[in-house]
Amino acid sequence: MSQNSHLVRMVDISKKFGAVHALDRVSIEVGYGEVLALLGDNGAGKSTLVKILSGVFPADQGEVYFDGKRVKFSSPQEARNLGIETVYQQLSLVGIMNLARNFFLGRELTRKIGPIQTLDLKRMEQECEKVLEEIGVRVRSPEEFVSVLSGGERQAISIGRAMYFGARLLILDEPMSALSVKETRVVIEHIKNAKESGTSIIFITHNVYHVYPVADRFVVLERGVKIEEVAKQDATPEDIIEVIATGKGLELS
Amino acid sequence: MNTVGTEKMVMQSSLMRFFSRIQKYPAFGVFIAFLVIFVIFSVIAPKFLTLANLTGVFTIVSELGIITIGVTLLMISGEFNLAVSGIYVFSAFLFATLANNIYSPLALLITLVVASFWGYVGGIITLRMHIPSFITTLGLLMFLRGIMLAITKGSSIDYRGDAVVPKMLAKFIGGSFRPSHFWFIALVLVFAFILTRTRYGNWVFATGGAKEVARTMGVNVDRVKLINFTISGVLAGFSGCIVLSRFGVANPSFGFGLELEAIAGAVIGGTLLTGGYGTIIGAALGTFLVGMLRIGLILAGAPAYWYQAFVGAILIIAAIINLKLRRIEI
Amino acid sequence: MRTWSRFLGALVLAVGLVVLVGFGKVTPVQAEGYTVYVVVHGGIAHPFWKVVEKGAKDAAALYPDLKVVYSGPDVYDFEKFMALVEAAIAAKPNGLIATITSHTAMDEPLRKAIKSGIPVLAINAPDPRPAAEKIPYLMYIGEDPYTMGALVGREMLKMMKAKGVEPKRAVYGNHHPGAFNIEQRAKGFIDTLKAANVPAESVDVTADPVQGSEVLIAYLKAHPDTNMVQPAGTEHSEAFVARAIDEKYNLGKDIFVATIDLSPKVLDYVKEGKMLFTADQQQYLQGYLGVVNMYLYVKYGFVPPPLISTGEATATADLVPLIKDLVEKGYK
Repeated sequence: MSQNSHLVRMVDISKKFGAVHALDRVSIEVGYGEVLALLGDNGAGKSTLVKILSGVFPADQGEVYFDGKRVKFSSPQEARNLGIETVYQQLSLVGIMNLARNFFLGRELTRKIGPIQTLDLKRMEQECEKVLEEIGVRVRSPEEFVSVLSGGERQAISIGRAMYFGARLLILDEPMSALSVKETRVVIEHIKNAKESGTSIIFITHNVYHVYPVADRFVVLERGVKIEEVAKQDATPEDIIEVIATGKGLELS
Repeated sequence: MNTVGTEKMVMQSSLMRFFSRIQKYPAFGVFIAFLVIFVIFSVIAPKFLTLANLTGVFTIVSELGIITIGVTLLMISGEFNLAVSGIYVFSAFLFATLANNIYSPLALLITLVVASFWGYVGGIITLRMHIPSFITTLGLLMFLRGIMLAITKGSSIDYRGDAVVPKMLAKFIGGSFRPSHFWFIALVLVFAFILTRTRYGNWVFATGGAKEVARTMGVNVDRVKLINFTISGVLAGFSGCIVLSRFGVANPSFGFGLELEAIAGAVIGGTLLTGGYGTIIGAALGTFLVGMLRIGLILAGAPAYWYQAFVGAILIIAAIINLKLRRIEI
Repeated sequence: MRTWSRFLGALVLAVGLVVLVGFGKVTPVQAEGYTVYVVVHGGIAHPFWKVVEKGAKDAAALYPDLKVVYSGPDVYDFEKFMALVEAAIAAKPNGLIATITSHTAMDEPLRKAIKSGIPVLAINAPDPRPAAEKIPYLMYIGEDPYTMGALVGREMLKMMKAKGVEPKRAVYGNHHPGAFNIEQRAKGFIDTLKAANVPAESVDVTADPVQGSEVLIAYLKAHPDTNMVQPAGTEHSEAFVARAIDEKYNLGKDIFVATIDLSPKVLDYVKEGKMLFTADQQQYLQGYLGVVNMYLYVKYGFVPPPLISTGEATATADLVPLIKDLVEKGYK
């Protein structure tokens, strides 16, 4: 199997926090344009694994490969530069700022007035408006504050933002936990669109039903160890729930 | 069809549209409040609308306002600097001591560097030790005022240096105007621009609005706060040098309570105490309001001790109005 | 992490030592002779209180069998002051001299001390309540604030009349509204002026001399017939005089300024004629006579008079050179 058949390869990743083994030799792969569901009960190590991938902290042991090349990130910025974008449950948008400013936070568009670099607010608003239209979020203007949006709309915008900035890998960390049933449906549509445009996705959740419609493969972690990995055609949601609840792989049950 | 009726309706709706448009500007509320109070004082206080009085008010407002700019910028990024009045009086003394011996512009420069140091210290302790800035800077304030008292033993200091800096900062130029008025306006414009039209400004809003979100999006949150702490120190020091230049004398009680007046000006001007929202223009207008209140009351012949009650009431009313205005959608 | 806890421990120890050495001048009472504690609200770093200290120490030097311990917070801090009062009481001295900064807070501990046999003498700030209610201290030595305010008013009127200027209106700057002694000073001043048919009122000049001078200038603009100003204290006076000169007011000719307490700058202003005079609380006497009366009481049982009012002097221009000399030497 060549190195280039997967966008992401994490090999034998281990991480300790003090005396706690958050991850113990976990390996996962994500193919191009694939949606990988990362499941497990609380404390399984899902967030830790993706934080290593998105550059928040390094692994103690193991290697990470992105697009065939070995990578070791020393900051989230480096991961972002390669196209790894993360969408969190709550941590993606600043409620008290408007959409355009949020959209370009940390990556603001600028223009020069003489020697001074200033915000190109007009272009920021235009670009933001384009994306809002594409993803179908209806607001009066990009000058609206994020706080007027619902949870589902915010997640849609976060995903849209990640796609706008050319995400090759989209990491979704519990994106549906705070959403209503209707909103969940809408966000799933956005995720499907992202997948269709060729982006790979790692979808973290502890609720299988949220991810089952879009996932291609499922990986279950239990206390830092990978206990199951199965393709969609080989397992039902109930099977997977059983794995998570009992902490045992499918063959063993 | 009742044509007068329709005309009235058309006028009303375009008025409503104008109203709803300017209402979106955060400084709108405080601007209205300022106008209202200004008009009231002009009417009931015979000497209020004189050039001498207005420039007098402008002078106090400039000195307080320069401090408020720094305090506001820091508040928007989510922190407080209560030590500003301590840095202010410390700088007044330092500047006088230095300028009594060396070329005053050099003395001013050194003083500003030291003032920025005090701002920085407040910030670095807050961020490294994870203590709320309210507490650190309160301690720093007591420390600064304390060592002032200990070193000076309560006595005042006279300015005996050259006239270069005092002329540059505070002495009358043409009629009743002072350079400090222009310094204040210039600084308001500069910092308003920085806050609203630069990348850094965006980071300031994000840092105060949702620190962790800003961090995940790659903003160096600690550096933004540290820079703002330092700026608040420099501006407080600058104001201290201005007041020394104006009076030619300073004593350790100078500036007592200014830190709270600065915060009051910022809050009346629409800045949220919790951070993430506010304007420099609004804070400047809030400072105008606070600054002209006391003088206006005296000129209007109000009973001796009403000032404190008035400012307190207005602070609360202004805070409520600002919050409500932002929620109205027409 | 262990180095941190050790460092913290050392820090706590060091701070504890500094506190003990710096504040707790708690020494055991001598077997022979008498020990008297003087505790003031200070801050004792302030020159005003250094003079009180000199008075107390000079009196102590008169009597070889008397030891005087003078203490107070470096910077005014009521909590620290109370802690020092309690510490002094716990040391069981022969006598305690204290400023009655808050009669409500100090009532209980002082009454207990008196009951347990420690006589208490009040200086600088009295218990304002009527005789039946107030703390049963030996006597009060210090400014009677009403008298001081009245003194300022009286002397201003006198000196202005001597210059042939008609007093038209007066303003009294209050920098601690609500503080008992300041309010009493204002009342004395205003009553005296009203009795002479001169309108007078007091105005809140805040604790900040910069704002205070603006308030007074605004007051002068609102009431242009005002020609008598008491800006509050030395710090406010220094700022006000500088400001008034800037506004081209003719101090000493059209407008007359006087205040309470001494400072080098204020004395300069008095000498230059910008201020008429300043009232002298003569706090040296508070320390000196306090110690003398306490010693005479504990040793011989001499009962002192209930009140010695020390604030009857004014520092006028002719006295300034002498006073400045005394200020240098620590007597004023």
